[in-house]
Amino acid sequence: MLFTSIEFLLLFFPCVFAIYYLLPNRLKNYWLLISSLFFYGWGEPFFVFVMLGSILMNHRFALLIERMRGHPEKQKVLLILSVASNLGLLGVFKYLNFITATLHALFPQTQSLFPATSIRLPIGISFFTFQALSYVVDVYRGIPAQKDLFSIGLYISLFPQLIAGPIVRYTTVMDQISDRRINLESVSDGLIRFLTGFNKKMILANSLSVVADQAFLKPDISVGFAWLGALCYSLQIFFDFSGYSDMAIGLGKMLGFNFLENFNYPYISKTITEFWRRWHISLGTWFRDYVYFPLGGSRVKNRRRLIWNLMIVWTMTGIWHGANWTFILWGTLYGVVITIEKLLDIPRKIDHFNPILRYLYQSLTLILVMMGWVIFRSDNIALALTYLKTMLGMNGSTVIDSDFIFFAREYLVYILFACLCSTPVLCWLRKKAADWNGAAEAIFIIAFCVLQFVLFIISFSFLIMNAHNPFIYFNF
Amino acid sequence: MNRDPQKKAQIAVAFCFFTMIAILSLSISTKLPFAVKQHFKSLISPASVTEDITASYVLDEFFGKSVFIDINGLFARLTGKRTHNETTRLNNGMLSSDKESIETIADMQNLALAMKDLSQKLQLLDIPFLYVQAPYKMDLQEKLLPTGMKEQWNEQIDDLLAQISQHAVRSLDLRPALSGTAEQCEQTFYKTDYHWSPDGAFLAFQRIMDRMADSSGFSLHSAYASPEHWVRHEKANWFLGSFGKRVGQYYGGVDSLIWYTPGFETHMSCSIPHHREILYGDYSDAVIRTQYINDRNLYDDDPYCVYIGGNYPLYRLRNAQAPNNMRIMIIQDSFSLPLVPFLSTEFTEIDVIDPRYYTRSSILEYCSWTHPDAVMMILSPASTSNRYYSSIGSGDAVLLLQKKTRNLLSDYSVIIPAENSDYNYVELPVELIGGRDYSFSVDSLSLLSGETTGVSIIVYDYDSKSIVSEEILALDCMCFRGDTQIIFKLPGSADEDVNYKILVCAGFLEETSGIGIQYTGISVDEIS
Repeated sequence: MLFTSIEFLLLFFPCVFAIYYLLPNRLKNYWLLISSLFFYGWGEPFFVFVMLGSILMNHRFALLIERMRGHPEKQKVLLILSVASNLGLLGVFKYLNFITATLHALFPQTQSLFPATSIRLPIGISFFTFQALSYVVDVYRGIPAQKDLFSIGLYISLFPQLIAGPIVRYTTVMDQISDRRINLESVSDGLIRFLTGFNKKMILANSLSVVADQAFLKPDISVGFAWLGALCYSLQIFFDFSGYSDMAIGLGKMLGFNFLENFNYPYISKTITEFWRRWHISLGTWFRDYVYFPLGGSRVKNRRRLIWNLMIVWTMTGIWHGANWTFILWGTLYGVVITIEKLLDIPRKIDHFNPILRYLYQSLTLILVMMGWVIFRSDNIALALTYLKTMLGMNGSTVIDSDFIFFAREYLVYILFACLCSTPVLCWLRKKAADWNGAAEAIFIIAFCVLQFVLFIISFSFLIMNAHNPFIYFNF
Repeated sequence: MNRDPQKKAQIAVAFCFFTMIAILSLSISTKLPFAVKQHFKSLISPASVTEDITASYVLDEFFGKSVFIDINGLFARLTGKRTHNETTRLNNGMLSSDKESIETIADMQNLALAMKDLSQKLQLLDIPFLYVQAPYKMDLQEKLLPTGMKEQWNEQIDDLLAQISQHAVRSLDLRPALSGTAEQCEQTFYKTDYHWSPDGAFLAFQRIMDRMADSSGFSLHSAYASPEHWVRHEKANWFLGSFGKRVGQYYGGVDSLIWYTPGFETHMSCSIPHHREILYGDYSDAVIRTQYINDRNLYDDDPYCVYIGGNYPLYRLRNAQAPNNMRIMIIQDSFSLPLVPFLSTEFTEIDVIDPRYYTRSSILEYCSWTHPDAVMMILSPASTSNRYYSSIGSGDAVLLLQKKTRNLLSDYSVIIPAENSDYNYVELPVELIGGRDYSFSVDSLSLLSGETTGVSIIVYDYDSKSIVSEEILALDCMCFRGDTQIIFKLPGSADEDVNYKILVCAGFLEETSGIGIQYTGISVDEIS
C-alpha cells in the first residue's frame, strides 16, 4: 500500500487514525501493530510472515544477548549468529537471484549445481532488516533489551517507516513506544509535514519522472536531452525519496513518534562527503555506526586500512541499494571519490578555497552526483556507460533535438520549481521574515500551511488522474 | 515569536484536511462491501482487490471527480503544459490527441486490401463504392503542432490513400478542404472533442454531393447543399468534448454546441432496430436528440450525439421528400453522426452500418439484400487502424449473385385487432428451415387503434420458446423502391428439425396492448 494511493488516504488512514485517537493509551500500541501488519500484508500477504519471523528472531537474539551480559564471548557468538541470520535472510530474498545469475554467466558449468532462482523480493526488506539488526547490535552495546515482543514488533513494523525508511534506531523511539504525547499541535504539525511530502511526490517527482523515463527509454538521444534526463532524474529521486521520508516523519508525528530527519538539502553540498551527510542520513549513519566504526573508522594505523574501510562501506552501500552491478559500481565509485576527498582532506579545506575554486568544486560535486544517478537508474552497466557517453558528447549525438526542446519547454516550470525547492530557500525566507518581525514570520508560516493544503488538493487531483505512481525506493 | 497564529493555521489546515478526507472516505466506503465481496470470491490478493476497486469504482464514480479534473487541468494550464493526460493543446488552443501516430499500421494495410475486396465484389453486384477520408485535427502544414512535437497521422493517411488508389478504389480525401490550413481546422472541428463539428460535417456534405454528382452513373440533383437552406443553432459553453473531459474545462475551454435544422419542409423517419426505436416527423423529430440541447451536463453527457443519439449497429433514415430517389448504404464510424442527417435530406433512403457493432451479416450480404445504389465508407483517421473495418471485404459476391428466391407467401393481408395484451401477434402460414435466409416485405401498415410508431416482426422458436430474430418496421414502411425490407438469417442447418415461425405483431413486442394493426401485401421468400 502506498501513502500516495487512494486506498491509503481514504480507507486505511482515516480508519486507523480515527480508532487510534479514540483508543485508550494502553491499547494504542496493539492497534498500531495490527494496522502495521495489515498495511504490510495488504501488498505482501505471504511476506508478512517473513517479517514476523524476523521480529521474533531478533527479539529472541536480543534477549539472549542481554542474558549473556558478563559473558562477552557468548554474547559475541550470539551477535554473529544474529548478524548472519539477518544478512542471510536479506541475502536469500534479495540477492540469491542475482548471485545465481552471475555465477551462471561466469561459470556455465555451475548451472546444474545451482539452479536458477526466481525469488520475489519482499518490499522494504532492506529497511526492516537493518532496523532489526541495529536493535540487536545496540543491545549488544549495552542498551536494555525490550522484553515485550509486541513493542519490538511495533518498532520494526511501524507502518510509517516500514517500507522505505527512514531507518529508525531503537534508541530514538524506545521511550516513545511506552510513553508519547499526542496533542492537536503535534497532529497538525505532523500533518503539515505529511502534506509537504505528499506534494513533493505527486507534483514534482511524478512530473519529472516523465522526462527522465523518456530520456532513459529512447535509444538515440541528444546531448542536451541526456543532461535534461539526468537532471530530471536527480530531482525526481530526491523529491520522491525525501517526499516519502517527509510523509513517514509526518505520520509518525501524528502518532506521537518523533523520527530523525533523513534529508538535509543534499544538492547544496560542497563535497561528496557532505552529500552523504545530507542524503539518506539514516542509511549513512547506520553504515557509519555499524560497519565503519567497528572496522576502525578513520582512526586506523595506516592509509591502506583507511582506504579499505571506506571502500568496504561504500561498496556495501551500493549492494544494499539493489542486486545489480550498477548499484555496486555506483557505491564503489562513491567510495573512490570519498576516499580521495578524505585523503586530500577536502571536506575540511573547502571552506578555505578561493570562492571560484569552491564553486567549481561544488559544481563538480553536483555533476558527479548526477552522473552517479545515471548509473543508479540504468538497467545495466552497458546502458549506463552509453548514457554517460552521450552526456559527454562522445556518442556522436546532436547537441539538442526536438525531444530536448519539447520536454525542456513542457516541464520548465517544474524543473525550475524543483531546483528552487531543493535548496533551503524557504528556510532562508522564513529567517528573513523572522529577522524583520514576528508578524512577518507568522504570516510566512500561515501562508506555508495554506499553500501546502492547496497543493494537496492539486496533488490529490493528480492522484485521481493517475491511478498508479509507485515510489522509486520501494524495491529496497 | 508569537506561536498562536502558526498553531491556529496548522490546526485550521488539519481541520480542512480531515473534513475533506472524511467526506471522500464516506463516498467510497458505500461502494466497498459489494466490490470486496465480488473480488474475494476469486481469492485474488488484497492489493489486486484494491487496485480493481480503485480503477472500476473509485475512478468511475468518485465523488467530486469532475472538480478534481478541472483543478488538475487548471494547474497544468498555469504551469504551461502543452500535453496533459494524453491530450495536446495545439498552438490555437484546440485539443487533440498526444499520440504521435496511428497505431497498428498493419491494420491500415489490411483496411486498404479490405476496401479493394469490397469494391470489387460490389462491382459484381453492380454497386459503386466510394471511400471518404474524414480529416484529422492537425493541419496539413503542421502549424498547429507545438514546437518539438512530432506527428505522423497525416503522413500515414497519405500512405493509406495511395494504397487505395493503387487498388483502383474510388476515394475522396476531405483533408485539403477541411484541414489544409490551421484556419480550416478551427472551422471544421470542435475545440475540445476528437470529432468535427456540424460546421465541418456540412462542408463534408457539400464535397460529397459534388463528388457524387461528378461520378459517372449518378444523375443527382443536389438541392440542399448550400448554407442558405439551413438554420445554424449554437448554444455557448455547452459541450465538453472527449479531450476536454480528460483535462477539465479550464485547460482547453468548453465548446458551443452546434446543430443545424433545415429551412425547408421535411418528413422523415429514423429507425434503430437495436433499440426498437422509430422516430417520425420532420427533420428535428427524426434526427435531433433534444435532451442534449435542453440539459447541460459537461462530464456525463456527450452532446456530439445530438444527431441520431449515438453509434448503432444499424439505423435507417427514410425521407419521402428527398430530391434523389436513391438508397445509399454508409459504412460509418462516429464521424458520420452529424454528416448523415445532411445527406438524408438529399436521398430517400440511407442505411447506416457500423461494423464495430453490426454482426448480423457481412456488408456484402446486406448489400445483396437491399441493393443500394451506392456504398460509401466514411472513416476518421483513428478508425483506419480499427480491425473491425479490416473485415468489411468478407463474403462471396459470386455466391450471392447465384442465390435464388422461392416465394412462400405473397400478397398476404392480416388484421390484428387490439387486445389487452403485450404479446398480441399473428403467426404467418409459412414453414421455415434452419440455416436458410428469408426475406420479408409488406406493402403497407395501417394503424387501426392505439398508438405506435412501428411494429416488430419476429422469428420465434416454439421448441426453445425463444426469439430467434427480431426486426422493426416503421408504420409507413418508407420503402419506396419496393425492395425487400427485412432479411432473416436463421441459425441451424437444413438437417435439423426446427419449429421456427414468423410472427407479425400489433406494435412493438411487449408493447402491443391496445393497438390494432392491419398488414397489407405481406410477401415471404426463401433465399437459397
